[in-house]
Amino acid sequence: MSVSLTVSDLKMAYGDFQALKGVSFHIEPGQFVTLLGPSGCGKTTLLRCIAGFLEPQSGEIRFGDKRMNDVPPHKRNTAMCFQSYALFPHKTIYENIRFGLRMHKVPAAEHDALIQKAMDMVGLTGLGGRKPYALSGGQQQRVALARCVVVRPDLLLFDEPLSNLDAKLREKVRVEIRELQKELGVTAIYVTHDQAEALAISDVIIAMNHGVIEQIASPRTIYDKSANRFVADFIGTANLLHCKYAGRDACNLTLDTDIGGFTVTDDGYDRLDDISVSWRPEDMTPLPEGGEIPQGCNVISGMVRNSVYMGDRLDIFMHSGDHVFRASVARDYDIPEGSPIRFAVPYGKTRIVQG
Amino acid sequence: MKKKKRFEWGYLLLLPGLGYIGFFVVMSAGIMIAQSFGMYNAITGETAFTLEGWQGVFSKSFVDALGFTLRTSVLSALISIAVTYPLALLLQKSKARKWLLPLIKIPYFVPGLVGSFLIVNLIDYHGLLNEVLMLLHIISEPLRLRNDANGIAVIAIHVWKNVPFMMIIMFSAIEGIRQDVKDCARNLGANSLQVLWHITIPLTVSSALVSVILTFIRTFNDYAISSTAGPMHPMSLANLMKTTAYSYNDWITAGCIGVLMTIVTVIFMVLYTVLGKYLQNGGGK
Amino acid sequence: MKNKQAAKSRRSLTKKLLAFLIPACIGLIFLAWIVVPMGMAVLWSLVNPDYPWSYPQMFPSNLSLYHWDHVFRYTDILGAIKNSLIVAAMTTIGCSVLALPTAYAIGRRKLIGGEAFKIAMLLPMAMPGMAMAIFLGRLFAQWGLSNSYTGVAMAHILCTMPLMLRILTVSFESVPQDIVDAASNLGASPWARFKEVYVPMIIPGLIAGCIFTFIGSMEEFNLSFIIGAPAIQTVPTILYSYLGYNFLRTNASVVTLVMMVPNIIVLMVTERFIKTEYLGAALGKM
Repeated sequence: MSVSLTVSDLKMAYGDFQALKGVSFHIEPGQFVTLLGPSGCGKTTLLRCIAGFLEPQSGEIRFGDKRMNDVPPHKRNTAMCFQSYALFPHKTIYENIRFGLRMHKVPAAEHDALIQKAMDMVGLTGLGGRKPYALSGGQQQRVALARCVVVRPDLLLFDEPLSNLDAKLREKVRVEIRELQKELGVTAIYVTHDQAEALAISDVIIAMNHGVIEQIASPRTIYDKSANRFVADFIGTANLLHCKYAGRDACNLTLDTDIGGFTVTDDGYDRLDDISVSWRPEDMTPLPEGGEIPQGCNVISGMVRNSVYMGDRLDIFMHSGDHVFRASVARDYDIPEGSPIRFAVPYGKTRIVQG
Repeated sequence: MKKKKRFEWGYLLLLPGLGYIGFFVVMSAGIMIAQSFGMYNAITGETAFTLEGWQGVFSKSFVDALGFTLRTSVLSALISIAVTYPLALLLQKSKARKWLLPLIKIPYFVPGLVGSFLIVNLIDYHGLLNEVLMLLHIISEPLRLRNDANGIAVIAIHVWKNVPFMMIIMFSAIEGIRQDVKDCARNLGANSLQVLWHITIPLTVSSALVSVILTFIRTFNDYAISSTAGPMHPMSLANLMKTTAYSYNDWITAGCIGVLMTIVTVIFMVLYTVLGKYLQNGGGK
Repeated sequence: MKNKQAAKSRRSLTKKLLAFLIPACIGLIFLAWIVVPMGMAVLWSLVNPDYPWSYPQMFPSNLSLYHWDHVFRYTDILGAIKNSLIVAAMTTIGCSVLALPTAYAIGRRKLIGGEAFKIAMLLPMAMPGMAMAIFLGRLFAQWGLSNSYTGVAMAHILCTMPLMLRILTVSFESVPQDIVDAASNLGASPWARFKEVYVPMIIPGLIAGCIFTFIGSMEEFNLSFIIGAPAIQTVPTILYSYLGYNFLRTNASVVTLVMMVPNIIVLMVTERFIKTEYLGAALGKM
């Protein structure tokens, strides 16, 4: 039913523009994998190569053991949810969902039961007779989903399926997509530029930039242990500061920066040239004036430039030397703009990233 | 891992449509050109290269016909656009356009010959126009407007027939201007006349040119209308060509006239194509 | 203050006046454009031959159906209508069948030289109608196609093809790529995509193209006249014979009115679901 996916050294260019510069990864059956990156990073190109709409210049795509490069899209048994939904405007919802069954030569007698089941699954019961334009965006999205799952694809593909929905609905539908995928046990590849969406929905995130893969990891790993500057900065928010390796002891490394030294818990870092120190805004704790510095913490001091109330938290933008750092603190702090401030960041929450 | 270039079947699909067009147009143009040099003779079937036709083609009747045809086609194209442009602008603003637009389009769907007859009825020696003018004592004697040497009837019929055609093009051009562009101009302080002058007209002028060119080509090549409502002398070029071929059996000269008409038409078709390109590249919207 | 109010009321008055004047103007133009000429034709067709309508009478003094009866009894107008309809039907079918694959290839396949093909579509428009008729007529005469339905329809296909190709190409181009991809992604073979996605989505364009082709064929004169006549008399050629050498206003009025019927019917029937934009888009823009 569900297959593994192996992509090896995939290259794809549009004229002079190298959209994919040699991409390799492997996905286990039943995993939910997100391709995450800014626009133009090659994630949609990669998805379209997997679906077969684009022919890569070189490299290989395998579903399980089967090489798919020369298989035309309609024989790949993938199902894709498009950003535009791509519902057939001239067919009813029922006929839209039935289309894949007819194309896959599923016996006509089974159609009705399968379609009803798919419509129930996505909460469209009773809307089969309508035309797509008579539905809301969220409902159209669900039709697209039902149309995909009804054919029992080997691989479910999503091309930014939620970007045309409003924020509330987006959160709701992404939970539904995830549940549906678990229920079916199908391998899914999901393209998005929304890092929150990627963190919430995936087993594995593949972070991409400029046609190369920057990191492949679980949401927790990719957030807590970002491999490089790009990943740290693109996923969530990170404070980044170029630094130089100064030395290491049994369990810590010391680093030099232009605002003073940093100590970082050793995580087996090996490449120590061209590095930055990185920490998350929410790991910064404000220190009371004249208070004691807690054990095992770096201290960053500066001036509060902006203090932005976000509802669930307070965002502080502080000047320190030539740099601006961002800290997120509990919303009940009252930190006036223009006042001096000190923050503590535990060694364990301070990371070294490449770049 | 080089891919073998697969044969592109798309080119084969071009054959039914473009192949058909290409074959017959090239064949008839070929016959026309061959005949203008005396080859492939229609009557005797003999083939002999000669420049006779080309030496004699610029006869008085040809020059007269050329003058007549150019005059009627230029005038009818200009009058048509002068009527259509304001009418389209008015109509676009009016609430009545829902039911007026289909009605105005009727003449486009009326065959040219029918139009010819309808208008001839109006402007004939004892037609409605003359009678009304005489009743109002504006003229003392009916005007001879049909089959007159100036081709007034021909122009009137072409205008009658072409205004709806232009209306279709102009109307979709005017409708195509996005409302927010106009709103923005209003918002920046332009009154409706300024909007017309700075937004609507610049954005539709190329459509107007396109419709003028198409109208000109249609009128320039017309046979039916000018041969029924036009004068016996001078004739329109198409009429002269047909008469030369069929009545005088002079296929060589007919071929020459055909070649010259085709050259003029091709020039204007090129203009139309270039303008169309300009329209597509953001001139219109 | 008072001045302002006066100006305001004056402006609203102008507006009201304009709101009345514009439709009135257009109505008047429309009257002169269509109603008067057609009314004249109706009157002329009803003139009683025993009471001729001549100057200075404004209206005929006595009306009868004599000329209608006469035209239908003694001339082959019904045959001409039949011929026109047969030729138009053959032209419409032939033209759409030939144009569909080509429009698909130009609109959808990324062919090298696609723009050139779009210009090549216009070839028949680059040759004057009468020149085309005369010299194509020579070819058809040699091939024995003159004076036959096939010959006339083949010639009509040639001159209606540009518009049909243009409309269909635009229709094919405007099918969103996502929808085609979605179909192939769900397992549709190229043929299934054509049948299930392209054809239903270009139907409005196809209908528009067929209507313009049908009307174009019905009123085509040059080719019918040279290639079809005298064996295949179509409505335009029969009317031409009335307008030419033996000009009989009364009989011509009858033929004229009869000739308008099919076109007006087509216009009425199609107005609701055919969009003017098709013609505008097809002719005004490349």
